This record gives sequence, C-alpha cells and structure tokens, in this order.
Amino acid sequence: MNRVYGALKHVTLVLLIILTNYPLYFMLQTSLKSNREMREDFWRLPADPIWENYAAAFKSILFDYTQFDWLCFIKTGAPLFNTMFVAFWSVCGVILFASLAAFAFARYDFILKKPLYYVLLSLLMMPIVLIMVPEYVVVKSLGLLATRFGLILPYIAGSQALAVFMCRTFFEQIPKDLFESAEIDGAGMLRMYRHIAAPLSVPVLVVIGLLVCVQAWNDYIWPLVIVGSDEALYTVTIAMTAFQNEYNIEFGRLMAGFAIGSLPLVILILSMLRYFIQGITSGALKG
Amino acid sequence: MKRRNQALLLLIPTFAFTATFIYGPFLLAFYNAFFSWEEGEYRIFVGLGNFRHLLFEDYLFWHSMKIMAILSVTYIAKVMIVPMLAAVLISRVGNARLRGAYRNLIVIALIVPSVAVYMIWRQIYHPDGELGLANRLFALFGLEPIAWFRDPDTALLTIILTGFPWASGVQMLIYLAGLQNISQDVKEAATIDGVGPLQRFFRMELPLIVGQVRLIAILSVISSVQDFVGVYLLTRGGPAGTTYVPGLLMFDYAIKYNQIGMGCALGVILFLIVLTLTLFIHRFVRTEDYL
Repeated sequence: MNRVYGALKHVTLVLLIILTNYPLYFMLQTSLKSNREMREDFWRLPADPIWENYAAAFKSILFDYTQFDWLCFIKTGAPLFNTMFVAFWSVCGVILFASLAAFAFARYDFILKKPLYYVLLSLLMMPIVLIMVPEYVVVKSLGLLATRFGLILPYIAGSQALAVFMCRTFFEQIPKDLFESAEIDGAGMLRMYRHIAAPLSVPVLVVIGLLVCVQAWNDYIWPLVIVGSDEALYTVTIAMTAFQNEYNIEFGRLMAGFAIGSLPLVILILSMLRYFIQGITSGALKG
Repeated sequence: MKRRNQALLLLIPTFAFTATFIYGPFLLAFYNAFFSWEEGEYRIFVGLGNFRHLLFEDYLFWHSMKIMAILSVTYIAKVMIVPMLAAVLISRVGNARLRGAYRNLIVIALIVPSVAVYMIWRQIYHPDGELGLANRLFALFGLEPIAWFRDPDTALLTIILTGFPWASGVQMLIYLAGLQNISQDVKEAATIDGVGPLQRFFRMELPLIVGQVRLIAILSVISSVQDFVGVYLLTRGGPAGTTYVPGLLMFDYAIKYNQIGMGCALGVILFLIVLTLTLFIHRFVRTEDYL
C-alpha cells in the first residue's frame, strides 16, 4: 500500500509537470514548422526547422532591424523599446518613491502617521476594475492618452502600496544603532536614507523591481486602452496580439512571435528565479 | 523613535501619485456613475439612471453576470484543487533536491507572459481538424473535430478548459510555503500514529494551511469577478455573446462607446460584489476555528 502510494505520488507530479509545460513545447516545436509540415507531422519535432519564422517575427514584434536607425528607433519606438522604456521608468519610480515613504514610516514618528499608513495599505484591497474607467478619464484629461507616460505614471502609483509595505518591513529590521551613530555624526534624513537604508536593502528592492517589471511587461488591457490606437507606441504584448491578425495563416511565424515576445522576460526571471519565488511568497503572505 | 514632522516630506511623491491615479479615480468612479456622457463631451446628471438601465433594461448585464458566476466558481475550484494537490505532493517528497526540482518545473511555466499563454491556447483550440492540438487529440480517438471557441455551444466550456491542468505556480508556491511552515513535531507525530495519506491531508495539513486557503480564496474571488483579459483575448465575448463578462461590458461601454458614466456605474456594481464576497469569506472562513 505504502509503496503504491509513493509511486503514485511521483507519477502524478510528473504527469502534472508534463501537462503544465506541454503548451510551451507545442509553441516551440510549432514555431519551426510550416503549415504543411504541421498538417503532415503534428507531434514530432520539425525535420527541417524553418529559422526564418523567427526572423520574420522578430521584425514585427521587437523591432525592424532592416530599417534600423537610432533616431527613428527612439522617435517612433519599436515595441521592444516601448516596453523596456515603460518597465524601466516604472521600476525606477516605484523603487525610489516607495522606499522614501517606507523610510519615513520605518524610522520616524510624525503627525497622522498611523492613519496615513492605513490609507495607503487600503490600496491593496482596491479592485482595479472600479478605477479603470475613471483612471482613463484622468489620464486623458492630463493629456497623457497615447503617450508612454500614460502607462508609466499609473504603474508607479499602482505599485506604491505593496512596495511601501515590503520596504518598511525590511527597513525596520536594519539595526537601529547604525542610524543612531549616523545621527550623532550629524547626518540628516536624506543622508541616512542614501547611505544606510538604501544600500542595505538592495535584496528587497530587487524583488520589488522584478515584480514591477513583470507586471509592466505582461500588462495587456491598460496598454490597449492607452496606446492601442497608436502603432508607434505598441508594447510587446499589444504587438504580439496584433501580429496574430497579420500572420493568421502561418502558424509557425505566429508561435515564433510569441516565443520571442516572451524571451526577454524569461531570461530576466530565470536569472533571478530565487528572488522571484521569494517575492511571490513574501508578497502574497502579507494577508 | 524620533518625532520629526519633516519626515512627512518623504511621503509627498507616494501620496501625489496615488492621489492622482488611484484615490482620485476611486472617488470619481462613484461621482461619474450618476452622469451620462451620451451627448458629446458634456455630462448630464441622470441620478440613478445608469444603474436603472443596467439592472432593469440591459439584457447583456444579467447575461454577463451569469457567465461571470459560472467562470468564477469554476476558476475558484481550479485554483483551489490542482495547485493544492501539487503543493501537498511536493511537500511530501522526501528528497530535498527532487522536491526543489519538481517545484521549479511547475513554476517554470509561470515565466511565459500570460498574453502569450492565452494566444497559445487559442492555437491549441484551433477549429481546423489538422492544425489544432485539441482536435488532433480528438482525431487520435476517432472523434470528429469541434469548433471550440467558434461554436456558441462549446465556447464557454472551452474557456473553462483553457489552461489545463491548471497547476498554477503562484497558488502552488503559496500553499507550499504554508505546508513547509508546519513544524517537524506535528509531522513526526502524524507519522508515528500511522495516519494514512488522505487522513494526513484532512486532519493535519488542511487545517494548518487554512490561512493560505483563505488568502487564495479572496484573491481568486477578486480577480475572477473583475478579470476579462482571458475572455478578451480568447473570444472577445463571442460567439453571439456566449462568453461575455461584466468587465468586458464595462470596457466596451467606456472605451468603445465612450459612455463613461455607464462604465463607472458598472465598475461600482462590480466593486460592491467584490467587497461583499471578500467580507463574506473573511467572516466565514476563519483561521481561529481550526486552531
């Protein structure tokens, strides 16, 4: 009985893993096939891989390297550039502003401290669906519709609560003596933030940055609302779905496009898988 | 702790951003819900008109609510059961190396952006008998191909089946974190008593991770009521509106037809649903009851 159960455990896990990852395998093997080969030989790896699928997809989804030109690249923006720009500035904004606020909450006492903190934390419970439409109106009235900042600024706002929460917990664990001796030496608030709190909390800042980056990279509906009308501002996810209509016939190219669109994020997360797993569980276990 | 009111200055950026892009819109949603935008750029006060229209005149509203209910219940069942099964099995693997490998192999599927995942699933359910994975599988068993998303009779079921086997990495990690926090003493006591694998789950593990279960229940209720990315990418609510959800209806009202007030009213209704369900779960799934 016990042995049967032990074997069953491993069989179930292996089966789960295979089924969970099968779509990935399907994407990769299809990306190297032509439609004809797909019809004839569905299950096996391609006999004669068509690497051009990737070249074609790369041009449409990331950027068109055949017409590469720095000035034009920055001005009209290829999807890859747009997404990286948005992710980069969102990460910077979240890390900087949230850690400043968290530093104040962790180190000092001031009027309205408690209520302000709870008001901020209540954001964690705010359903996005309620604010999506009015937020669109706000972005529009600020003249940020169809600009990259129409994405960046709301992303910075949206991640403040979680980031402040994570940072504050971390800052409070830094030994108080460090700050006290710095204070005796006459260091001000900003100096202590810059030279003690920030450098010592790099691990938590990395986790926050990674979460914000993944979120900005994966988001679909908000970019659709804000920049969906302007092809020059397409993000990678929008370009990926637009690509589908373009190449509705060649599935190999389509799948190559999805693979390429996922790749930068895959590399980023794989290189930080340990942080990533930590970030998910520590961020999620707050409640 | 030092008392320093200058520290308030450090909060300015955070509160400026959240006030503009979250608190402001939050309040605006309730305000705008009482106005109509239908006549060009000017808004007209319509009182509860938007709500009345949605609740009593809009056929799509109740239809989409029904679809949402079906999708929410199945979604919650999916994220409760399969990731829990995976986490429990993984936590019971004796070899630490193997345990880590199993965990990473399930988490690895998480790194593909969700948009790409939905697009791959669209391909898997391709209606053509020779190009879609699902139809090829059917062919292996001698079954006729199905149109999946394109057929009003099967579209909703196909959305529910998307993502099989639903061993979602995030939920799995949360359960796993809870399971690994169970103290060694408790585990040993269970082993010595010779408790069977099923009993061990219901008597020991489930009661001790009720906190995680509640957290996932709340998170999945919140996301399943408001989420419409999957439906948008897979079917756009079609065919013939058989997969239309309220989130998509709100999106269409506000962005497509420019009826901001109606969109806000719908957002307010969804907010109230989420709030009620969250409070309900908080009240009835109590951690203390099990301790």
